[in-house]
Amino acid sequence: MKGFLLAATETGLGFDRVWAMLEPACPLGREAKARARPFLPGQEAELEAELDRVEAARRAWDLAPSAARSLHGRLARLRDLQGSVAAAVRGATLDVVELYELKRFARLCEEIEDLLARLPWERPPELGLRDLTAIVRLLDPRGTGSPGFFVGDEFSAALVRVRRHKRACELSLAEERREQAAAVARRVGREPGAGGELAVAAADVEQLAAAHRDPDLLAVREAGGYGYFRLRPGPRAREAEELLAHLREQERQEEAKVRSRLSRSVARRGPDLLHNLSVLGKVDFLFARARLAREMDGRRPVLRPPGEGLAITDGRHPVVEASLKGTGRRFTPLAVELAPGAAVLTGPNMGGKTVALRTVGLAVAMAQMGLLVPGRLAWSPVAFIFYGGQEEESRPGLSAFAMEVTRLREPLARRDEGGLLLLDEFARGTNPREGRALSAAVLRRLAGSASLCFLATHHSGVAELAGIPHWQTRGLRGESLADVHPAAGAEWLYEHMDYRLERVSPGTLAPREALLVARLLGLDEEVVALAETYLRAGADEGEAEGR
Amino acid sequence: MAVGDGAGSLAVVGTARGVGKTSTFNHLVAQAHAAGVCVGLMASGREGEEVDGAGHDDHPSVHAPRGSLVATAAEALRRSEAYLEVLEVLPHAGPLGQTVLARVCEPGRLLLAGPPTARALREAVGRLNALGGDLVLVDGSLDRVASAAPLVTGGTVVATGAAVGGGLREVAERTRLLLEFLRLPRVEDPRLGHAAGRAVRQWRVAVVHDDYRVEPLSLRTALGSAGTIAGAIEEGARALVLAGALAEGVLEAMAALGPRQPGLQVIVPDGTHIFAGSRAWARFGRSGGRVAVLQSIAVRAVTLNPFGPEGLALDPDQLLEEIGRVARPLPVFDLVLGRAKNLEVAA
Repeated sequence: MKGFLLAATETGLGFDRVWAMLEPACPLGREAKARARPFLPGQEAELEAELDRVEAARRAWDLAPSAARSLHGRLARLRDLQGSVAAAVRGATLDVVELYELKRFARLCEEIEDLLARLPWERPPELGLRDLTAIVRLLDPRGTGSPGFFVGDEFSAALVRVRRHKRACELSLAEERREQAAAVARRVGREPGAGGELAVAAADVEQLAAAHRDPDLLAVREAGGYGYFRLRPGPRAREAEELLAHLREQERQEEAKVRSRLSRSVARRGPDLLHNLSVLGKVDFLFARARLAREMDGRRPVLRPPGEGLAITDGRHPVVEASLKGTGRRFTPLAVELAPGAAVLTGPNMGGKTVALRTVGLAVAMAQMGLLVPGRLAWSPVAFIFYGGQEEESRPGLSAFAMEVTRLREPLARRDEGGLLLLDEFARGTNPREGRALSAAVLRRLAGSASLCFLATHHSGVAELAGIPHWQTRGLRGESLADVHPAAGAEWLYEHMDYRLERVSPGTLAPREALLVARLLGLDEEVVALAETYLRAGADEGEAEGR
Repeated sequence: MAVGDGAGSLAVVGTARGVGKTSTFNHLVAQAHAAGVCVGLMASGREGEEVDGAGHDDHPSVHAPRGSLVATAAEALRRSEAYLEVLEVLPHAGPLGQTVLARVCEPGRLLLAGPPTARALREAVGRLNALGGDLVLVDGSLDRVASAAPLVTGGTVVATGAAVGGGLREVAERTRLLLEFLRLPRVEDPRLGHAAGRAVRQWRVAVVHDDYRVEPLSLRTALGSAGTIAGAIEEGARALVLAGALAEGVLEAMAALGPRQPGLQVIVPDGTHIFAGSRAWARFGRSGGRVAVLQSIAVRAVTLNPFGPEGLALDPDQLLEEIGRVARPLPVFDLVLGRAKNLEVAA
């Protein structure tokens, strides 16, 4: 996203939060998400196709939610087997856990294919899964359908033979040991205990001597008043042990041979397996976007030809909307039409200017990342988005003003690429006269470029100076300072503030509601009253600036 | 040894390295298998586990009988002799890979490497039970990471022996103390238990006041800041709650506070969190101090190994007698001699 969302735009718009809400079910989907790049001007056809896919997935989910949930459940069980497949292709022998995973994956592919086919959608041809029946047959040759995996009898006649021989040998060895232990018990009076050791009390001199003489016993140590012995393997047991070791080695070789053969077969299906792993990552990422669209009621944005600006209606900022919901308030949907060039937005404090800019920027960012948008957006794709916001972190040695000027250099230099610049109270950190002049100059410069700029400000006359359209939030129209009791507080503001935007005619002054807002937010009454007196006397700089 | 009866799962922990924990474990496996019980075998994870190097010596190597179930890390499986049918792979990965649940098809030596977290341990025990394991045996340990094993399982067997060091009296005392810790009573007052439970989930150290209000103390851990803790406890406080280790320093500070705070108790999640010697513990007890736990551990039996490394050896009869005395009413077994104590009491 670097180069597309400039500087602190990603967090400024809240795009990072929305992107984090996008949760693919499996590692393959998460990988696809990490690889996602914005669609830039010139990639309109690809973007159209991508948005079609997301919309189709969302519609399929709406129409068949239970099948979609099953699909999600299956996808969540997928693991990333690219490493195992690549290893097999390189000629490595897979272990039993890897073969188990491949068998499980081939089965899951069958189930997912079935679900994808059942969904009411026209599946994009590039999301077709390849048939892995050969892998299922390879790893479950008897077709038992058991979910587990073991290199068992069905894979090698030689393995069957060696294991049969080994088991017989194990049995006879165990029998031999049992008999020996029983014989010892008859002579010494006790069988070996845990760990195969037999203890004889040193006080029992005769028995200890008998144990030492016993050809079947081997003295281990004498301690704590006891002599400890182990069974001494007789010639038959030693022979059986040797044979067993030999058979185990044969078994090991034969089992490895089977796994090597299976791995070579897996390698031959490597391209199909890798294809399915990649497609399933895309499917997972696609349905994650469909899920997100359902959560925030996203709609497919409409592309306009290059250079035709943007229009948004019913626009919502999902992060702000969610936090408002938490306090029982509702988000006022945004409607604004931005012609190519630049426009100004004015409005009272707490009138929603920032949220309006962020909503516009987020919608465009989401659309160009291939997401459905909370609202109806029609736009010409942009080369980059820049949001110069209010919550800029300060850097040592740089004032807020210096920071915003420094940040603006890149988007301004790239203006002819056709970007979207959202400038939130640009130049607020300097004196109003110069601030107004700077704002107007930036807008004038951008108005003639391929970029689109929306600048929010408290300075009056910027739109006129730059000769560009002027939008304003309706704000607290009709409410005056005298009518409002300060105790009404911020709640009163939320209730009476009209957050809708409207296009206003040239010459409209920026609203003067700062004192009212300050009063409602509990600023010292005397301070507010004094400020009012100054205002009436026309002694403020803003007044001079406004004329 | 009927210690596993009805438990569904059993952990084996040792009082020290070399006390015969793994041979106790193997004995339980063999006995249960011989009795026709389908056993599930696993270990708890180890602190500071490394992918390669000497760390592997720490993983118990057991003989897994045919048909038994196991849970072990993928890498440990690769290094085992037994051949298994892989049944499931749990998603969370530790240093030795993901935990694999499998059935032993061709028996042999098997390396058990436990799941990486207490939660994963609990899940693996549950899955082994669900896959048909009548009795899941966990080769546990008492280090900080893995002390969940006795909490996750239905019962615990404690292995002890000469390897503890210091002779018969020392072995008996250390064993007695550990058993006392593990079997400490649960918090009686349900309101206090609730408040303390909330405290250990959120903070390292907290105080529960007279009115059950929980106040966190701004300390990362209680270790080494005993004086600060004692200073922060107001009169009338009900409990000092520690989510981490209860060390001697805190016990001593609390003992000094004792006479002024008669009703005050110390609460820890369970007995594996207490790291104290007999003297400090006894002084704390004499001062009127009390420790309660949120979860007590069901110790089912004690096993003995009269030998330790480097020729350490105790008289097995005396050891059985002594441990039988301090562990009463728990059954105590010398698995080599095939002798037991307290069977009549336990029954």
